Amino acid sequence: MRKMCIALAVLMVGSVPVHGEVEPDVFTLDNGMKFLLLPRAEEPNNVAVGWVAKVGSVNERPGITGISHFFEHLMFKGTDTIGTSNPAEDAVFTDNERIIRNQMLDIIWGDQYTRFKLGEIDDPWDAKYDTPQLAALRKELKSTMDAHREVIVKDEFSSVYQGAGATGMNAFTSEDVTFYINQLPANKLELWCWMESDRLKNSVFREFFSERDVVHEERRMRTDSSPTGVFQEQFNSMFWQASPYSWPVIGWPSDLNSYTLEEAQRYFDVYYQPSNLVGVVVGDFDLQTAKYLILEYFGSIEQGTTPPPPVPTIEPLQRASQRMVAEVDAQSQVEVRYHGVPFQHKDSYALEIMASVLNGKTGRLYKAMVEGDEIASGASFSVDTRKYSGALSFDATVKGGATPEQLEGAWYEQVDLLQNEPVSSYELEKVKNNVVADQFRQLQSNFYLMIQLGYAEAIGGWEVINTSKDLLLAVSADDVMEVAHKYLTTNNSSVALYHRSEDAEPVDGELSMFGPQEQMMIKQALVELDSIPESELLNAAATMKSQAQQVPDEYKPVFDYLLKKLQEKIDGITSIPEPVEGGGISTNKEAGDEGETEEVVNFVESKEPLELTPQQLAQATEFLANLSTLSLEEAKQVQTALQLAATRVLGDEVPLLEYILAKYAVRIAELNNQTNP
Amino acid sequence: MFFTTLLLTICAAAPNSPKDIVFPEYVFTPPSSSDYKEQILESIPVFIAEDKELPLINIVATFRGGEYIDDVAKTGLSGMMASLIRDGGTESMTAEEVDERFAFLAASASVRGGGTTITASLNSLSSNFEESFDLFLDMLQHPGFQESRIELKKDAIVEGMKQRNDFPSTILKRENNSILFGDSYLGRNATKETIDSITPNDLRASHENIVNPSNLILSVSGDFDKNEMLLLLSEKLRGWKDGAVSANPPDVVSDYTPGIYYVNKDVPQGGVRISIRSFKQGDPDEKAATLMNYILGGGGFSSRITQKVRSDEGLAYSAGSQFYAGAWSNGRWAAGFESKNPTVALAASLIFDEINRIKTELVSEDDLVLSKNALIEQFPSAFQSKTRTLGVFVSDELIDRSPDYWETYRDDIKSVTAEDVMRVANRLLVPNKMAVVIVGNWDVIKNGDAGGRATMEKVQQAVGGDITELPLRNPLTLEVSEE
Repeated sequence: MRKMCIALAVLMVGSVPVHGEVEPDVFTLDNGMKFLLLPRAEEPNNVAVGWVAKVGSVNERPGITGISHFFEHLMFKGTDTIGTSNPAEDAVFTDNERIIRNQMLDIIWGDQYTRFKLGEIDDPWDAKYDTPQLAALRKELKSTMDAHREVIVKDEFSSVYQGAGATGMNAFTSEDVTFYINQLPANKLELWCWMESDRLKNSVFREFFSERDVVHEERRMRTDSSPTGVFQEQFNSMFWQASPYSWPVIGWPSDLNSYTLEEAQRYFDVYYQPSNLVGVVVGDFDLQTAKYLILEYFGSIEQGTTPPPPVPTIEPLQRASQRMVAEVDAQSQVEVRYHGVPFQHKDSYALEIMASVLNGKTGRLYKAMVEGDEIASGASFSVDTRKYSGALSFDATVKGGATPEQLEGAWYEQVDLLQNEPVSSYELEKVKNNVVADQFRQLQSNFYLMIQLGYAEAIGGWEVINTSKDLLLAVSADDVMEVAHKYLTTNNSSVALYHRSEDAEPVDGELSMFGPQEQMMIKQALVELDSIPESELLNAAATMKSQAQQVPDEYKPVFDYLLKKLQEKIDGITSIPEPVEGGGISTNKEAGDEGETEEVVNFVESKEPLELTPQQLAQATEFLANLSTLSLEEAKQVQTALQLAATRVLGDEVPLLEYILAKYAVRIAELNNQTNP
Repeated sequence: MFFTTLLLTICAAAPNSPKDIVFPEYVFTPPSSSDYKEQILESIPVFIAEDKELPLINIVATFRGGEYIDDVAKTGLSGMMASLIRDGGTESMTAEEVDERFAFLAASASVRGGGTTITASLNSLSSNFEESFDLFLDMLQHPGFQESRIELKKDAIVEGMKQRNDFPSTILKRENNSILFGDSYLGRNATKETIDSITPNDLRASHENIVNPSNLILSVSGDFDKNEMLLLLSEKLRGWKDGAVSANPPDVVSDYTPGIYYVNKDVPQGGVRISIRSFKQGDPDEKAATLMNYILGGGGFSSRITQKVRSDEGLAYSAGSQFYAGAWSNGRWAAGFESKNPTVALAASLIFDEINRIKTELVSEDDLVLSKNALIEQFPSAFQSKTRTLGVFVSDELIDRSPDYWETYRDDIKSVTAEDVMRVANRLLVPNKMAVVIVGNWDVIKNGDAGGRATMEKVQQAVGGDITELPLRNPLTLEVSEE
């Protein structure tokens, strides 16, 4: 009935993109919640919907790191009405669990931490060190949780959406935002309003403790099992000296264990108050109907009492370069990272243009390192502009026997060029042509546009989607030279060198081509080679070459291999970068038994019998249309969302998702060889 | 504001449950391919749709033929050929010139080789479409296969191979495919040797065989006038010489020994795939199997495997199952998860419990309705945009699917009963025909969880068959190293 009275009064409000610009209707409720509404006819039959909370790991503090991300998980656990058959009993169970857990925490933070500090136990959280009292509480918690299940309706929140034909239900957390996204049939907008306002008004942090185990598994998968994961975490913490960007989004393991329901509730009250939220609707819908529904459902969310506190810490100027050297079970690689600028900073546009000049198949890095010197299998430069500050990263992975140090040296040559010679007018024109095309490409998909609008609004303002084009086109060659001078300085740099660990299985692909006996010979010879002083290397090479004729044919490959290794050693020495100025901090970290990861990079070469149909390929192509325009951060955000989606897609959608993920992996590897969660 | 306040007073309050929401009626009729299908030069099918909102044109050329055509000794040939069409220049332009031109035109062009097709796509501004398209066609018709780019490509492939054992998930996928699909094109992988053996002549021959108008299906959407575009396409493609028509891909019949296989690797988390071959598209049980899988492990959070392994027990971050029916060969059903080593056996045995349950208990009306609703309500999203719609039609053209497939799709789903689900579960999910592949720290995995709820021995009882160690293979030769 209600729909009919709305239908009578429909007004056409034009907000369709013209000339690559979007004009969403901005609708703010009395409680402060803001909505960006953009009706579009481009993709009929569906609406892309989402809301973003302006909270991420940057708003956390030591002790509760990772709680923003944990929250994102909890938000799918239901409300007073969704997810339980008996709200009253459910609340009693939740409260009992809270009480038991708090008693456990008292013991753990007390006695167990003391034993840990004294060196009596190696992990205060490990159940095998439980005191009798703690063990009893643990048992009680388990039995309460088991009994609790009787009144829990499993994953009802998801079921309601799935039964309604939702295809994109998901969420992701970054340093700056937590974003809840979805895509629904066009006639289901009211369902979204119902479900989302319900979880904002009546949220219940159900299954608090079992969900924490899920996040532990997630951390184990993303970070601990990744050959470079924990090192990247360390590098990131070393890079940011004061900023809360220094801890990982997924949180430190000890903090993950330490969340309390009270802390979670406080966090929710502060950061999920309506004035800290932005809703976005893009697609096939009627504007007035949407406004009515939004007012009706979201309008009744209570206003917050105190605004979220500011993030006052300003990252101090870095005064000396820093280095980290790690051994990893992965391709040797390098990252050189500099402090950059926040989102929408006036220098961000020149930095973006600089990145475009460097990146891509016709960019300077590919030409110099991948094609020219053939020392890299991939190299990229990325500009990461966050809400409060930013970073610039050069990343490259070695090819063949090249070393990370060689890549580092090659990068400094590029920096020299950028600082001392203006970018050619041809390069600038090429890059700007792509700025124009990308402006249109970014509007192709409702879903992606919804994410962009919400993200930009949450960390600055949505208008940047329209204004950035002209600001990018206005960048001159001098501007690029200026920012290269300003930001790409030695004192502002932090370098991470990753060497493939010597005892990892595929030490050297080429070496593994030899038989076991030959491998032994080579290994012995390499040890000898290592003992040759640097000054003697050239002589040694000359001697070897002079003996080449006498080598029996069967040992020729071994000989050639050794000669090549020797040559690489010589090349390595001549291209060692200048020692860093000032008193650089050097952090040497030996690799532990770090495992490997559920990394998507592996889809690149892997074979998938779940073959993509052309239909899916078209879907993928469409979805991937803007990939080349994404910044590293954006690509990672979408990737994270997609990885999460991996557990939720239908069987025959799996290859599609994997294909898309593979493309993202390639792009991200291009941009950056790291995978922060 | 006045307007909305007015509405509020007229209309009723919000319903108490999402079940009570009355949604506007929404009738969706799937588009018919005949409304989009044209033909040029008397033989080339073109699926075409105008879409003028943005000044962009998207064109996809799909060619029949792919990995199944490659000589086994040259595995990887057609994929390499495809990517070198894009990266290897043309007869009249160097690779660098082609790259620069595409970049300058801000056109994005790519060519991808797959198991059964080669797909080339171009997304360009409509303002310079003709120049971009000329270049696109030039590379498709007259690829240069520039020597330096061939070498660079080979190097890149080998660099990629070196990472084949770095991630447990890659190993898992490779070994699982290899067991399930043997050394057919679906199970085998390129090695350094097969890549090294590829010569420029091999690339040219592969190109001539596959990338010709006799194998071509075109689709084009975007900012153009339909008739003008058809005329332009005819004009540009005229004179492209017909070639060999690719035979249909073979029916891959695999012969594997069911049981448990493990790769021992010192990682904190074990990865697992439990899999079995399914059947072909068009099988009368296809829809019932899709629903069965949705309820069992394909339906995300509302599916049983995900709920049991992830939500109830917190044993995994991702756990679920997939089912697909193959276009040319029997497809696959597979369940998978990753969990810390000690709980791998427990999670696996929970999955076998769920398999057993769906085979012996009729699914509830609620489960059946939810899964049906999900598939039916999602249906329109398959035709969400013009590019997606055209993609569906090209796919149907390739496998010669009946035009009424989409018309009856929702009714076919609706007609599945709880008995059908149980019957198809019994037909498909036969544990002693399954291959269980595990990558992880076997010494820890085999003993199971500290609480003694499951060990690998218990899982073995559910599966039957032997427990076999698969040694880690050399990443470049894929042979087992002698140690």
